[in-house]
Amino acid sequence: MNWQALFFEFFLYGILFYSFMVVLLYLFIGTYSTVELRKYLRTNSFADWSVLAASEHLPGISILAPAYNESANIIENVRSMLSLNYNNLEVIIINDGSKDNTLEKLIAEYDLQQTATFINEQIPTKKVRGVYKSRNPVYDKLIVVDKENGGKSDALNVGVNLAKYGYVVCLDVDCILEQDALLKMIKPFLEETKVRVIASGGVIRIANNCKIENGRLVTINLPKKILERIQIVEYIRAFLLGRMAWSRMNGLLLISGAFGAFDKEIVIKCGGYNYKTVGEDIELIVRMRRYMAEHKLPYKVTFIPDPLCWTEVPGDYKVLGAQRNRWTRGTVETMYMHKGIFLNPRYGLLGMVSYPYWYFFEFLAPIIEFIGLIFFFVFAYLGLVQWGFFFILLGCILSFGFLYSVFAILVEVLTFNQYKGKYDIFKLFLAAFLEPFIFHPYIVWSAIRGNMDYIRKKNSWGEMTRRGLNPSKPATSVSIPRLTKQ
Amino acid sequence: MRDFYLFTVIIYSLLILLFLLFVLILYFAIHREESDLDKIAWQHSVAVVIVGVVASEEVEDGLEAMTYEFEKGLDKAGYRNYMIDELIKAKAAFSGSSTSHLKSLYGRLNLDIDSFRKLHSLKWHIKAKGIRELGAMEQTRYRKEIFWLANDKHELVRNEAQGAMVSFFGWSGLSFLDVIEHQMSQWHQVQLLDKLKYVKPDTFEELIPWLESSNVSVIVFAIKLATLYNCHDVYQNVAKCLQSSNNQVKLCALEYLRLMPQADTFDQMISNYYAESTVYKLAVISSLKDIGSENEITFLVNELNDPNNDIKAAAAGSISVLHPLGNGFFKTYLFATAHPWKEIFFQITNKHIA
Repeated sequence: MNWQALFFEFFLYGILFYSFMVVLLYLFIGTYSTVELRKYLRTNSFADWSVLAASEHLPGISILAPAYNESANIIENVRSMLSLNYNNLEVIIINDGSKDNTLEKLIAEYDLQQTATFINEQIPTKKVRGVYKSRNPVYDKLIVVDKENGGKSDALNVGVNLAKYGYVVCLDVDCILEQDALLKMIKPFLEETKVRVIASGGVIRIANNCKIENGRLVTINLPKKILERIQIVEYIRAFLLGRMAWSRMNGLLLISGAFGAFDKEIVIKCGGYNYKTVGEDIELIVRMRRYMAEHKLPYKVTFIPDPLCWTEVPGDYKVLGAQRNRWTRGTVETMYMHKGIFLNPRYGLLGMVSYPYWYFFEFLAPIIEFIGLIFFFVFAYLGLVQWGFFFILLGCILSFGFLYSVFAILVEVLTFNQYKGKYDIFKLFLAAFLEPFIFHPYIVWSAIRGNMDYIRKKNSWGEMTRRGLNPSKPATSVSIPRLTKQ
Repeated sequence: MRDFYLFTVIIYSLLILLFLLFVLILYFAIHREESDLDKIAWQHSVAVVIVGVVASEEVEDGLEAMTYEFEKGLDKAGYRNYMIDELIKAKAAFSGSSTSHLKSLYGRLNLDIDSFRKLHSLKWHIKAKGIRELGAMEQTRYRKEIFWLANDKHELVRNEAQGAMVSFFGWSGLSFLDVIEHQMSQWHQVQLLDKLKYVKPDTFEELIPWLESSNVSVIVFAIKLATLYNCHDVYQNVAKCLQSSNNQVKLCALEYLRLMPQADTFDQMISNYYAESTVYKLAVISSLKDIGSENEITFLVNELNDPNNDIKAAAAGSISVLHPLGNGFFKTYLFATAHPWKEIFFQITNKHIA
């Protein structure tokens, strides 16, 4: 056997083995998550949220919401946060040096005045220009911080320094939360008796085309654009199946930056959000887990499958590409920063399972896919492809992908069943069917560009035209620290 | 060629699986719709009976509103479960004699037997549901069976059993605290405290053994109960809890002492102060705002030199309340113009002006 043939065989069977592992993993995740989901639903059916909402015995929560050029929707968004069902709450809006009139609007609407507030800078941040509180006692839960622009991580760190309660919920300011979202988020922290829960993540749902009034979600509709619908299928798959399975294993490595709750003490001990990465959400969780493992402290990172947080997703390829590019850079940066964990038994599940999974199946997957595609064209050109075999394999992979998406839709129908329109399920089937042809290749390409940008040391967040969740408002062009990795 | 056949088999298997999944989704979508339709159909007949019973002087009068559909429906397990759920909802919504009518109706229709049967299920969620139903409908005759479940290996089952005991007997229902071996979660404690909000116990004697329990969560809960009911009788017992090795016990004890101080409270709090965690220290310093006197000023001024800025800020806050000069003290402090004292003092002074 000459070296070319040897290389060809190695490459062919290497890719085949990798694909086989991916398929096995998905099968495992699919089945493993459904058991956890069922348990969650059964347990939570016993909680009386309406009674607990008024409880004085629940611990305090500080909501931290960074805002950058959010003047279009900031008033409604803050009102939505202030109206959440939770007794012991403070809402901290961090104006991250907005260039528009975000701060002025807040001052006028909520009757804010600047107060002298000592901020114990346990995490170093950019300069805080002022802390504002309302003269109106109705808004006594609201604190607005004005600071120099330093990015989302820096803004969140200011919020962590200022928060007076032991639990912080980091939230994208344009997200719409369900009324009981905080109650459901705090539950895992209080339920655990054996280990310390250091963070809890929530499902992000897609609000494009949903009806929103006064900062509240009124009607859930499927988006009109196929690109947005495909993202619904993708999110259902990622959240209801993927994260649920990792949560059950206590191997969850990512809590979405759009909505996550954290134990403040551990966040501070770990040094807060890292402003040097665009994947600050995954990086923080990895660092927190690492801290707990290094100090031999038993801990848990949990996940809530309830549809608690609704946000807008990109509606066109350009914005989607920028988002996925950034997610990739965030993953690569985090993988690199914490490379010492890789297959290190000292870190237990984190080092031996979670990190390697992310390395091989999140970071490497698009690269392997892209290289595979290039080789396919080369082999096709050289006439080395057995076309019958190729089509059978392609059909096999496409069928499995579609099958997995359909399974995710089935789980959604059986659990939260958010899309109740007459043909909604069929529309989701169609989206799942089209995904490998009109969505997935672009995602792979964006990931490749993300890797190239990482090598070129590009670290911008990109620009996005946000249509806004309030249809009466005009479209605004803002940077995109809002749409974070799922 | 063998590979080719193998993959053909795989792809056809996947397609068959896909088809089955489609069928499943359709089945569940239709089934769910049917089940919703069933409930809509049952809604009327059940509501008529419940409203009839609530509005009548006697339960029998209300039962006259029973329709043929209702009687026929009672043969179906789904219908009976729906009836139980609606009765529980109605009982939570009404008060006074209406609730006793609803309880009578629950018994008259032998729905308690349905609920009791669930207690023997091997599935924890069904068992827990049975307990919830019996507790909500105050079926005290099942107390023995439920009491034993208060120590069940499954957390939800024992939580429901403990909750049901409190629903039955209020304060006396807490007797399970004498025997439970598992830790009570904070979440469950919050739920129990909310249930006990309107309960007025005659005696707090039981608190003493609970405060000495070998189960840490029972001690925490007992301190919370003592705080909830402003129970001064157990002051010494709670103060002893400050010697516990568990941080949560100590923090709960501090909260109790803050609300029910006595002459020796400060001494009790600082007996081991310098070996304690920052959270403990902050709780002590903050509580001095409420319970401190001029005697503690020296201690607080000392704390202004603590390396932790939160402790400095808390100490400054308490000094501003306790010192005879109030905020004027800050001007006399040696490092008043240095960071971070300058900013801390400025914040406190500003807050007082506002």
